[in-house]
Amino acid sequence: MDAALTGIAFVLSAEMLLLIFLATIAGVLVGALPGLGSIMMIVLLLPYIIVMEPTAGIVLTAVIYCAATFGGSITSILINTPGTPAAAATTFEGYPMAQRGEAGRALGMAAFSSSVGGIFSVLVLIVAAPLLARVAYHFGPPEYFALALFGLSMLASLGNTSTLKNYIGGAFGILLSTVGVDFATGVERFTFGSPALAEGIHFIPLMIGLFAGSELLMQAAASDAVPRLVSKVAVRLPSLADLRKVRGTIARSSLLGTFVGILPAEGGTVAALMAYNEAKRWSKTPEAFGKGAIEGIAAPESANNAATGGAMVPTLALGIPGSATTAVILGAMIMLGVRPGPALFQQQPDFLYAIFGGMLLANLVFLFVGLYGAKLFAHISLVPKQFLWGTVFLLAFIGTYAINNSLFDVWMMVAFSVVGFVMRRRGYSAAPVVMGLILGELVEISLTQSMLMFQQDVSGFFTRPIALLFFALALLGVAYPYIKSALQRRR
Amino acid sequence: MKRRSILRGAALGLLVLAGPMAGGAEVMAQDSFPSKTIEIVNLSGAGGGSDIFLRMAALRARKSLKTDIQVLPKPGGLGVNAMNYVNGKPRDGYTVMSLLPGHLISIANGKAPIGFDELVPLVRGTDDPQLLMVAGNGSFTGITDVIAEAKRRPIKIGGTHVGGIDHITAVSFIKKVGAQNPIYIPFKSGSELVTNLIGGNIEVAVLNFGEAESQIESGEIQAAVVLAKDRMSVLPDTPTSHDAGFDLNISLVRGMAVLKGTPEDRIAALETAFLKSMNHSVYQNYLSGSGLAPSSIADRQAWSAQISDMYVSIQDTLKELGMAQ
Repeated sequence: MDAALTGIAFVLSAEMLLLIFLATIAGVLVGALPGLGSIMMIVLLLPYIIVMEPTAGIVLTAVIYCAATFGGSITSILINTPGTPAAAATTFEGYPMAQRGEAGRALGMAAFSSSVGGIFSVLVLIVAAPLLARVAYHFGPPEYFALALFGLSMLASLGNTSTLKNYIGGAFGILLSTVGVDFATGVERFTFGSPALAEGIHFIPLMIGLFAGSELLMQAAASDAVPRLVSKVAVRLPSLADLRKVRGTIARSSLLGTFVGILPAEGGTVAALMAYNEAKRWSKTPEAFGKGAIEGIAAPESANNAATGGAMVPTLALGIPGSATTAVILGAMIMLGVRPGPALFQQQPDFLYAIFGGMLLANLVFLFVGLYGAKLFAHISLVPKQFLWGTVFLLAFIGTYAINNSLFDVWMMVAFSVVGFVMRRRGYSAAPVVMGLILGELVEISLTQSMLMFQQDVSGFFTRPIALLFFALALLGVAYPYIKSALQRRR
Repeated sequence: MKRRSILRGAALGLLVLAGPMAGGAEVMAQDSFPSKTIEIVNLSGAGGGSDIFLRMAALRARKSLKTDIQVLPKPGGLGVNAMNYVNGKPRDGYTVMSLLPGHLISIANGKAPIGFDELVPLVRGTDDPQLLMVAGNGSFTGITDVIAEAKRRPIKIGGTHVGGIDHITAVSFIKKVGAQNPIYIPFKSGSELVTNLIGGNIEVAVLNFGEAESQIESGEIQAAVVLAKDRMSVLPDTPTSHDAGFDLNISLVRGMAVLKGTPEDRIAALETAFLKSMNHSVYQNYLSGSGLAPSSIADRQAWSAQISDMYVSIQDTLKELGMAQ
């Protein structure tokens, strides 16, 4: 109890409050800018963080992580370009709503559900971190293989395109995931002798190209259209009617997001896609999805913010990062001489409570930043198209280049812009490709590892109950669209 | 209009301030090194272990060299991208590269644009011995157990990717003790290895101390053997490979190098500056925070000797695995 008070008192000091407030605003802005995200900001800040007081430095990184995860939704909704990968699913419903003139309602819902999801996950982190962290040990390669298959089964009902087109898109993504040095044999595949491809297709150029670049081309192709007038964006808290509609969705998505966040290999991106799918599955009006359904914003936004708290669980409790950003945060902690792990809970509980307090505050502050500041951020959609998209493209180039200082990545981004454009004109959506790319790699690696573990005996999977559970869910996922249409036909 | 004139004034002011500095640098350029930014090219992305090492080492070196030092990540192809970049730059001391076992592996298997004799090792910053670890509650209680069982049947050893330093460690260990070829299961990161070792999916893991420190403290993982001549101060009870009766020293070393052809006086200036920087308390705190000994730091001579030894053993093992050129 002493430790909790010390930690909370630390966070409530004047300079920490100011720091958290500023870091939240900066995090939201960086999250909103496509290609820039919490990872890049934290990495760029590392030289400054290491000379800070350790607790303040780590609280700062955690705050940026939370705020940037929300910030990603702003550009998802307003210009159909996810500011962070985790906000990709938010474009599905957010952009249609903005086109309909309901950007304010969408942003309000994004801020509210992000905040609720984030706070829920921090509460989970506080209450159950040591217990929940044990789940990680029960997830070996066979369980990950089953989990990844389950994830791929969701392609069947992802987005608003046909099941077949989703599978084709997913297969394309899996194909892309095979580029690079094969993990188990060290053999290069589809690299054409280029060392730039040896580590596979980088995720960020692909995402920026498929989402931002293709949108730019779509906009350019539609240049004869009358410039669209953006109605005044008055961001407000969700109405009671909206709240009643999404409360179940937010509750389920927050749980799902926290759980996925705790798993070491998965973060907000997968959590948001899964939550979106679940929201559609549970919805009474699934036909409204893809045309601006409010549940389709509440689900990914509460899930990706819930994943931040979830990802901090294994990071703090085991010293095993739960996502890419927490891996960077873990690096910062080690540089500051703090070694996360079970011992930390006994030795420096006040440090942990300061992080918990900082994350809770960040989730509250961005709710207000979102409600009052989104009006400001929304002005980017009032900027004339030629300036807005010019700027977005410039940021996309800078963001792509900045990850590895590689022009090759920039060309890759340009290539995927064209691919994305052609796909969208043909009625395919980009999300299945991204899912295929994320999960394809996991499927292959975890299957290879499992088979090595079982000494090439497939029946080994039958000794793993958690894996069997996910296999069953995967079967259900594949069969679901057919079951549903059969039921509808009978009706 | 008013705002614009303020901006103009500010710009002028900056120019006035920057003018003398820029002029000064030009004068200095003629006779002293360094007079412009030094780049350190790294083989992996920002935020990783080697990135952090380079940034920490650069921190105080900036002050003693009186110039900016930037860490430039060029990931891809296990150091091949980084070496391509460095190879395309003039050998004037302004381009420094990180030097890790990964670079040596790429040189040994013929994928790198440069040969081994073109490397001029500069300084070593970390020396993190490889350890073989077993689960705290598993069937093995020590390294003698592991060796005995490995002779009876192929054991499951986990490490990072195939053909990397962990794989070389595992193969070298098995060869030294004359055991059966193991089942080598690759994982993506040290944290996954830790989880799977505790979860019982692998029997032995190749890890560094820092990667499993808290699990060793809590007893979930047991460090079976340190592959080094001396015991680690943080693990006084863990035997070395020499204690266990086999002679194998492999450590995850991180250091820097320049390419052959760089003027000798500049190499010496860089070596002095980085050694001074790493002996400062900021770097020492980073070392102790990562569970590393102060003896991690080594000068050009010691580092060159170690790199040459390591290159020979990497070549041998890669030939064994059929992966060398």
